[in-house]
Amino acid sequence: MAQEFVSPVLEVGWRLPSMMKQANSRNDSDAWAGFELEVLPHAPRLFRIAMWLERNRDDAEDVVQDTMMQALRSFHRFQPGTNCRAWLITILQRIVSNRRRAKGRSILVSDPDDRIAHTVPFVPPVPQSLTDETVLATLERLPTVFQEVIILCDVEDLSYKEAAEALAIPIGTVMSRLHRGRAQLRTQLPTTEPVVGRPSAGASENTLNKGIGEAS
Amino acid sequence: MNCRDVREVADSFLCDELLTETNHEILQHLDSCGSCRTEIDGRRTLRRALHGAFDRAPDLQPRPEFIDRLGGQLREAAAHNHRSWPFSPRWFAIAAGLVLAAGLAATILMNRPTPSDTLLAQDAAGDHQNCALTFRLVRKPIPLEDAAQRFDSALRVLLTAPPDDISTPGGPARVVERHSCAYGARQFGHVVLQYQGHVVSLLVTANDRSTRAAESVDAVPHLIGRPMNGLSVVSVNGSRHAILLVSDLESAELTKLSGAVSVPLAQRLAARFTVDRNTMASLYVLPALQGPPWLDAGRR
Repeated sequence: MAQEFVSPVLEVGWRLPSMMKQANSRNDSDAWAGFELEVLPHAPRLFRIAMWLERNRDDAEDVVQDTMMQALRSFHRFQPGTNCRAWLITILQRIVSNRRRAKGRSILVSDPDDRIAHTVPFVPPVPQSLTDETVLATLERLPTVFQEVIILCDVEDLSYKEAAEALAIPIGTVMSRLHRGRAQLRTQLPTTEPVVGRPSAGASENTLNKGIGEAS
Repeated sequence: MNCRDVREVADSFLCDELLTETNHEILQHLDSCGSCRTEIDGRRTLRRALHGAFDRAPDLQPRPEFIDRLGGQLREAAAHNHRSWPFSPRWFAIAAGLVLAAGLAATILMNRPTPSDTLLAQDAAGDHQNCALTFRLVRKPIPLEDAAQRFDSALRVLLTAPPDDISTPGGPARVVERHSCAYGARQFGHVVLQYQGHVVSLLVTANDRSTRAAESVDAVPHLIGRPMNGLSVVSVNGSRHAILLVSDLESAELTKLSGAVSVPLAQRLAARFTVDRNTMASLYVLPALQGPPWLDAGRR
């Protein structure tokens, strides 16, 4: 019996759409699996940065949600093997920056580096006993630009390069802000009396609603 | 390495940002210097204290229900993005091939950016990034009125156009700032807009391609090149100015916004040029221009 000849090219061409459909479906599920594995676990750490910067739980949740949605849309741009948290923090910082501008909380040109460049004359030793409340309340008193680099480098363990990308500033600026910020932090840490200001468990979040505007 | 050297690089040492050789030198110094050891220990203690305080502070932790809700929303959004394929495979294959070929040809022939376009787009993206997003311009922005007196009187148009609240086919856009700023060698008139939750920069600058577009009021938005660092640039070459929109919006959305905002502005600038040159002639030119109501109101 004569067998019907089907060109391999036509065969592939005919099957291509269904193959693409299957591949697309597989790619989508793979992409979601990758996103779920790589990105979702960072949500709690993103939240605490957002909470620190926004000083309000609802706003912080909005920021994290926007960050995650943006990350989902842009996940194809994420390079596996690179620091996912740094990538997410870069998105988060951009969103926070946009929100600040929309709320009129930012100013066009102001560089606290210049203003306080020479105001760290003496760096005292670090006190032996430090409570969480003391450390957070002292950090909260620093200018926002110093808070940002300290949180990214000291708390989130981002490299200078990653912090520079997240904040869209040169690496040298990250280094100088980190140096001055840490020095100011040490200068302002109380030597004997604990600082009261940052709420501990159960305290009202309203006490956090200050500082960003003035500090910028 | 002496004590002064160690103190200078102590922060980088703690952040693990130094070369291995430098780390070794510091460790050697610390073996024999109690004072520097105390200093490094102090800095390390403070770093750990910060770390621990953030880990433990109850008001910095998310609510479990928020994390659950977020996961659900993201899963739903991911599923929503999954595309359906309603057409028969054969017709889809043919259509896809034709569209691809036509699209490639059109892209190559019609949308090829010139070197000057690319440079302009780079400057525009840089200004948007440094001025609108991160506020890190080297030179301080100045009021539009000052820029109009010093550089280009046409920038005065941006004092009122576009209006603070703009209705566009893609939704409302709102002006949040107007000024003039410099980036690279360019002076821009800069209007910052909020649109669909994104920051969009509308930038007006002298047109490098004035011979091609002089006096033209039928300019159309065109995307310049590929997105740079996630930022798309859509340009309208009207009269003697280029009007650019820069944002991280999808290119198609930005092009749509440009049609609603940049094109009327180009017409406004062209009309202004005509008025400047010949006031009588402008009486005949102005009524012929097509534009949105806010432009007509501004003209009156």
